[in-house]
Formats: sequence, structure tokens, C-alpha cells
Amino acid sequence: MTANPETLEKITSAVRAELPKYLPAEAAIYDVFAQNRPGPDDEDYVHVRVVLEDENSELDPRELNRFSSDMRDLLEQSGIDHDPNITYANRSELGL
Amino acid sequence: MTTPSNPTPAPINWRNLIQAGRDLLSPQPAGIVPTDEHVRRAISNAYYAIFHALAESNAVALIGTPSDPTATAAWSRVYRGLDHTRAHRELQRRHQEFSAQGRHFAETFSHLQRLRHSADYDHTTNFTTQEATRYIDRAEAAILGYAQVAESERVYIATLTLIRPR
Repeated sequence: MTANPETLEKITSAVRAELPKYLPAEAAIYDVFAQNRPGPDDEDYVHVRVVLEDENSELDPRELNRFSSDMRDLLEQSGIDHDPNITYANRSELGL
Repeated sequence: MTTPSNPTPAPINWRNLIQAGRDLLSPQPAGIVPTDEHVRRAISNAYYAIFHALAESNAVALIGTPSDPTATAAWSRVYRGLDHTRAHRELQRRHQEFSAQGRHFAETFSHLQRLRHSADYDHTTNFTTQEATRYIDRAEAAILGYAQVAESERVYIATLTLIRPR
């Protein structure tokens, strides 16, 4: 299901607001981007790319999985029926 | 009835797929930067690791440990019966019914299937080494967590992902 620009912005804002609760204290978010991508079932999916400052400690994969589940619930409660795919890149990898 | 000669089935080892994905992101000699294709294959490996972990779990949950060739044939049929599309659809649809670990597994499965599709087919989408590394770590965590899920829930998920109701 394709998300419109307003929905993408709401998803981005929600990720930016909630994610710090799941990251190590020293982790810092540089930026968050969301866009539609073609999925395997002929439907678009929402890909959220979180860009982190490079000075991060190790991220706990269990916390990242928990965040994805909680974010889906939060979005549903807000009337947003999307299950975003969230990936975590480092700022330097993207030349930002 | 044709039965395999080897009574001990060997699943495709999800741990080796995880390790192979990590190896792709750390090409030798040390210091070589992974290519875009290495990263794409690493993401694909992460998906197939969780896919084969589910296939094995389904076979163990429904058949157990085979003790004779007929049971081995049944085990292999369940293992090979897992369909990508059906598994994705049912795990997406039913995620609220699962325990926390079951849900993390189901959602990671679905997410990785989408990412694999992008990594394998979408030339306009690029992923970074850290994105792939962190998703491999998440796949491993989800699989290990799924191993702790109650047997009855793994049986339920096996039936959801394998059997089409009429």
C-alpha cells in the first residue's frame, strides 16, 4: 500500500520521537527519511532509513526488533495502517 | 512409496547463512570495502536464514525428530512446503495473535522478505553496510528468540504458514 506524503511525514516524525527510548544513551539520530518502495507482493511498502551519527555504540538488535513492533502498534493507534521497514545507516556511509 | 535413504534430515543451516552474510560484509583481505553487490547478497542471506529457520521449526513442530524413512519423507515435505508469499501474508495478518518473541520473528520475517526483494531486484535502491549488518543481527536475534517460543505457538505458526483453509 502506497503511503501519501502526509503519512510518510507522520511516520518519520513518530520514529524520530520514539526511537531514542530504544537506543543507547550515547546514540544520536542525524536524520530520518521515509519513502515508498516496491514490495514482493505487488504492493509498495514504507522504508524508513534512520541515519545515525557515527559515534554510536553497538545497537541492541533485540531492542530494534522491539521498536519495530511498538512502532507498528503506535501507528495503528494513530490510524496509520502501515508496517514500516526500518533500517539503520551511519551518516558517513551516505556522505552526509 | 519412495523414501529417502538417509533417515536423518539436514536442514539448510540458518547459522551458516547468517555467517555467510557477515563474511560478505567483511571481504578479505581486511580493509577491502564491500561492494554494493556484497551488501545486496548479505541482505538476501539474512532473509534466507530466517526463512530456513521457519522451515525447520515447522518440520520439527509438526513431525518431530524422524525415526524412520517414512517420517523423514514427511519431515522433508513439511520443510519444503513453506511458501514465501503465504508465509509473509499470514505472519503479517496474524501478528497480534503471537507472543512478543513470536511477533518479533514474524515481523522480522516479513520485513526481510521485502528488503530482499529490493536488494535483489530494485537497482534504484541501495543499502549501506551498516544497514545490512544490523539487519543480519536482527535476523539472528529474532531466530534465537523464536526458539524460546512455546511449542504450541510454533505448531500454530507452522499450520498458518503451510495450510490453506477452505
